[in-house]
Amino acid sequence: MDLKGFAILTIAILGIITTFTAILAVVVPLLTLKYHLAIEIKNTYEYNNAELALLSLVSKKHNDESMYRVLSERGTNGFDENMQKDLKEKLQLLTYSKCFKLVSETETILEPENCEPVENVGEIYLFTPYNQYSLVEKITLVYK
Amino acid sequence: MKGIVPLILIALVAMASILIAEGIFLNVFLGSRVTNEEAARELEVLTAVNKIEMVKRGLPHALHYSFLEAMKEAGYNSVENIKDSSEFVKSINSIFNEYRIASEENIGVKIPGGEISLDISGNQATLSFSSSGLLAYESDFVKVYDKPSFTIKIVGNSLFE
Repeated sequence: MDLKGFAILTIAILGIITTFTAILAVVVPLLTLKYHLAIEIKNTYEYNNAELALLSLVSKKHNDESMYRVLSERGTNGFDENMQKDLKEKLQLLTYSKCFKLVSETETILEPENCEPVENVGEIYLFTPYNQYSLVEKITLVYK
Repeated sequence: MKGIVPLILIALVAMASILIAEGIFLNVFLGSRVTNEEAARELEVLTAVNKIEMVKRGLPHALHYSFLEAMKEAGYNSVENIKDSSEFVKSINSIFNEYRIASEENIGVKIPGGEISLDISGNQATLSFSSSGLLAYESDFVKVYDKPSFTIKIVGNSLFE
């Protein structure tokens, strides 16, 4: 190979390396950013799904009473096994899952059965019977 | 003269590289930005609508709880015992205002001030809340409003659902 041919080959290789590096330098950070944004959006989407499940739940009835009252008045009216069973059945239907837990800021309302619920998290705020310290209670649903 | 040819070739390759990189950059960045922004805004709208819905579903209960607390404060144990209904309504209004404030502080949804009217017939009370204002949830991107007016029936001391 003469000197001229060697120079052209070197230039071509250098050109390929430059192009490749330039593309990678731009694309990799962008793909990383896009990946993080996609995860963020997926999380928010799942949050909204769990929130919709909770909104549907509080519109349903337990005997003649709304689930809203069952949940918000459980501190004053009690929360028996029958109510818990009905609540579980309704949540199974709404979440298509058997692995979920329902918690308030102070207690666990429904425990998961032999599983660890993750992924979908949603919150609902319920007005509670009058109490000068707290009128709103946050209830969180987590399901797999 | 011959020495210039490799330099021109290098310059051409460098220019091509920059153009390709810029093309990819604009395409990927602008395209993904628009898509992500659209998705983020749609989700923000969903969140806002959920919050308003949450409060709308809770308002009849908040008014019922205000009614029960007003009965307790006035010493009435049933609807039939209510005598001075205008004073009683004032008391309900003042308790309901506390729920309005709690909604704004905890949920971010503003419940407008309004009027509460009470109609008693036997052991049944009909309570109405009406307002010319709107329920409002406002964030940086989204503003969602809804009408807050509603009526509830209380039979005995229980909310008729």
